[in-house]
Amino acid sequence: MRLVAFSVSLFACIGLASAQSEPAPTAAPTAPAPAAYQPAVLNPPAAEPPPPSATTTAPAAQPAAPAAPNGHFPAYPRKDAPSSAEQADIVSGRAALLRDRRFTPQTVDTAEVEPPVRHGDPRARWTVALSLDSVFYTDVGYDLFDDDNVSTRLGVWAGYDIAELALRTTLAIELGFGAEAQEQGIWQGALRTQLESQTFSAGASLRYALFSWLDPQLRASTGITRIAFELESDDSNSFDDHALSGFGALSAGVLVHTPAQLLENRRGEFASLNIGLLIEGGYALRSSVNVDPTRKAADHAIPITEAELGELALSGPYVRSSVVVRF
Amino acid sequence: MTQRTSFLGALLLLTACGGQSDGLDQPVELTGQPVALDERLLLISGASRTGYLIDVVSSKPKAVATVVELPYGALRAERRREHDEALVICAGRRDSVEERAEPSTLAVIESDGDVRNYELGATPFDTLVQSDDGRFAVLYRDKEAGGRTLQNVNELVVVDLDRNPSDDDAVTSKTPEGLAHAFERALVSPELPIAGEMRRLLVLLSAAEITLFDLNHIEKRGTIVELGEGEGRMPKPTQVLFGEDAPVMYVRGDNANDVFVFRLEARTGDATLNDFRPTLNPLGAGQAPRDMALFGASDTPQVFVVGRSSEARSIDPRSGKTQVVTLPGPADHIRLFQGASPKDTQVKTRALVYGDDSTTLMFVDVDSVRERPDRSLESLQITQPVTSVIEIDRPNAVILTHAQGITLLDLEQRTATPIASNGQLEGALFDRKTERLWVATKADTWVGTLDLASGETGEVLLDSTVQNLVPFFDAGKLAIVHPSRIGYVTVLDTREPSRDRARSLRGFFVDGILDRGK
Repeated sequence: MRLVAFSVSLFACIGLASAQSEPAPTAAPTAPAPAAYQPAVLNPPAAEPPPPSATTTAPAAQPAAPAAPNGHFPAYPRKDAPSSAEQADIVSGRAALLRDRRFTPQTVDTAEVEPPVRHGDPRARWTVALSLDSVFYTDVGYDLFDDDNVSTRLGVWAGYDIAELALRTTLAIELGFGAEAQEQGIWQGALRTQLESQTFSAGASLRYALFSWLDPQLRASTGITRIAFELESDDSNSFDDHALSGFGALSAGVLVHTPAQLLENRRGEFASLNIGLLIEGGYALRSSVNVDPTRKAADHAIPITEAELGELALSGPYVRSSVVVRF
Repeated sequence: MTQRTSFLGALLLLTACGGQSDGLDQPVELTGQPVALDERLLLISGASRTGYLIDVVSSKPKAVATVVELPYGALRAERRREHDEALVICAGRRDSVEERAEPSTLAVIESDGDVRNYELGATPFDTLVQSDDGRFAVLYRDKEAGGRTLQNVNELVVVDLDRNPSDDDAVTSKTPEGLAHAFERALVSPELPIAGEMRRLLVLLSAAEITLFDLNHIEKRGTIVELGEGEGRMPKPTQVLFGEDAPVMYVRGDNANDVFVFRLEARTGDATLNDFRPTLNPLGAGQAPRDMALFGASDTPQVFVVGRSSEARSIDPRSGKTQVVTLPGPADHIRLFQGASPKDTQVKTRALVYGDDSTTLMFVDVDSVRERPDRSLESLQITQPVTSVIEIDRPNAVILTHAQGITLLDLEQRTATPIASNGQLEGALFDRKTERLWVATKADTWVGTLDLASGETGEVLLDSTVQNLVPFFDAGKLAIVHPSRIGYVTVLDTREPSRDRARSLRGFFVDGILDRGK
């Protein structure tokens, strides 16, 4: 139940966050950022004094005049026009001034200027997850190991997007591992039974990006489970057995996750990072296993025939809840 | 919102369902003694209401049991005489807050696992006696056991096991009318020629009274016979012998110095009453007779009685003539045999007589008591008191068991061969086929053997302690039940007893437990 509550909370948080962050661009990851980028570089700081020639070159203080041949200075008709030598000095002075202005970088107070925003690639190809499976065992033989018909399996799995089959449709492959353990006393504690399993799985999933925060998906997986049994009586007799069970599973679910670039920083990092909750429901078809517990006998022991407990069928529906990190 | 609520509800429902199956809540605890059928061993567990039939005779037995569902309150089981079936007394249960009351039942388990249940009513019967042919089972309640709020202490039921449980007259409930005291014991006679008809009697023993029911005509009222005793004492009948070819009963009791002889004679009259009536003849049997036996011709048997007064008496029931032999000590038991003696090569009826706590064995030449009472007695000292006598398949030899050890006794030669044991004997069985005696000691992992042909002793080490020895000698097997929660039996080959030839079966209580209920 805590998991369910957590899931609901996470779902609400994700929805709220996505509503506040819209509209974040999800495409054109290499496009230059607009607006604030160029002014921050080219505009001088307001507190810096103007250059010496500012009064003579400020266009707002002068009447309109025809443009100079070089296009930089307007030509003014002057009564006290300088001589050629003076003009040469003026020209050379201006040239020096321009040279100074070109090659003398202005000092900018970086503490007061925001760094440029860069955007990374928002496509998350990798998925890692912690999963909690609620597996529903319908076989009455399972009652030997657990009062309830629902077992909890903890697991981890990882996936990689290998292809975009169509617009918003992604195919991924996955590997996973899960483990579960059940133990209980029967016959009023006269016998203690234990069932442990480790499951290795491989699968493929098809994910469709319905919204920026919601991906329905289908999954097909197969794998093998190593099942270990133990039966111990209160007269200190202990028996054990283990078996392998193959399985195939189909499931459908929805992945609720943070939109792409929600967690991106200004340097464009973590653009593809998103976290979410994947809820799936499915059915696992497993091969049944025979439980024939044995006890190691001494070399000179009387030949012994042990009982066979029977067949344990572990096929059944399951619900998987996964906390997913994609990047 | 509705969908989310539905989903969470389904998730909760999924985690809440389930629960432990029936059969996993009550442990298997062996109740009563194991029963040997022809080829299968029967173990019952009253707590879990299950019986387990295990094949122990086949060459490669498996740890597989045929599980039989029993009615509530299974108390004990015994083999049905002359049949490959077992009878299980089930006392039922009273009402409780959780569960309804269940009637007491006699369950008949056939060797293939089929069960017939004869419902007996609300009274929790706990004691069973059978007729010698296994047709009739009579159930009653031990007076000492606790019962219901109100208990009819004289109620009994007669079950005709040859009828189906659904037949109207399969179960007959009877209460002897007019008994002054509750009856304490019941027994069924062999077939007796009574009033021109071979019939069996149900005999109820109560203080100073004997009640007779005719099992051929169970609808009739019982006949009550009062046992009189002088000096105001109230005889408590404890032993009944029946004549072989005559409708005669011999009754001995505690607190009485007489043996009562009943002759059952035909009578006519009320159709609701038995068509016979007993005539009672008390015979003086000395002080506190403890055991009696019949000898002589079957139509004119004599009564041989021993008692705590250190006397043995030979009584002619017809004439009342009595011959007394003084014994070296008190005697409690008689074992008659036909044979010679070291002093007399003639084969005669003789008796082994011994007391419960005595180490003196006495031999009485019963046939010679009348003629030579002073020379009809011999005695033999042994090292330990006798616990039981085991009949063996040898002429005039028996095995005496003691608390620790056994004695092979030659009744003709009057020799005793003691065989010591290092522990208290838990059980002793004689295999007639191999002439081998099997013994087990308490809480030990060994069984011992005594080969009577060679006199050799042997032993077989087991992998667990012995709880019960169960013979399957006709099949050449001996099953040894070990204490175990999951079922554990070792089967020995009685022809070649060794660990290599033995086979253990373990776990048959949980055999197929995963598949039960599928």
